[in-house]
Amino acid sequence: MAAEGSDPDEALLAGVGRGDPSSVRQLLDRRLPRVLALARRMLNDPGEAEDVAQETFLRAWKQARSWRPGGAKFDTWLHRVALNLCYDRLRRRREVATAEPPEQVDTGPAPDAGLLGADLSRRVETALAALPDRQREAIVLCHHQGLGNIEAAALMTISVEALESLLGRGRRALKASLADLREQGR
Amino acid sequence: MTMTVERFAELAEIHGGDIARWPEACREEARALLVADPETLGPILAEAAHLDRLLDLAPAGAVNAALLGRLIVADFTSDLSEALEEPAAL
Repeated sequence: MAAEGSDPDEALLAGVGRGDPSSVRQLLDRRLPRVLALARRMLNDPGEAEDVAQETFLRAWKQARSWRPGGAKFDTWLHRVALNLCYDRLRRRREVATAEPPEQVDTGPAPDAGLLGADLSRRVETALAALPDRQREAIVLCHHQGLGNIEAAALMTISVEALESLLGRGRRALKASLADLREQGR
Repeated sequence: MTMTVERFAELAEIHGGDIARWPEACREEARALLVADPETLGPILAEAAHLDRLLDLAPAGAVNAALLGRLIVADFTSDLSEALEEPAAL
């Protein structure tokens, strides 16, 4: 087990830097699902999420050869790169949306409230996507990615207080938009 | 900060229904207050935990073999463009 404060990915990164196939595979097994999940929940688009995950790891492979221990943890670095790529895409979407206003997406309850399985999952995904980007980012980093307050705030380059404000506002908005699912998630 | 019912409710709203995921500095006081007043604080936690469970339903995406393959090949290919299809929408 890695010592507290050390980077648990350090040894694997060194292996990737040497071109060791086993290290590449282990690092992908460990980190690719996290990066993909981050991008999927930020972008609400499986194809774009894959593109972001791919680009993030291509940059990681280049970085691995010159990675110096003691700086940011690799997982933090991955999150930063992936988030930047997500924001590039969100920015481009806004530019397109300004040029061509999309049809209004209805995030409210369906007439038939008996949602199950994939429908329920889709409702939650749509409600998450409807949040302002920074509120969604705060929730995805803290709830889904499991980052602590300090780490998430540092990634977002905001104070812990500002992060908590985003989390509170985001969760209140989700609670309101998913209020009709009260009984289904219990 | 001394833990109060109001602060407890605020923390649940921000961090969710699992006290173990709250900031470490307030966990002990929060747990003590919960033991002292479960009738008031239990429903607050349950409400927050309900939203946590709904959030867990947001799809994470599954790693597919093609993506994994492209990234494995890319590490051993000096010319990345040979290994990868052009990324979409760049």
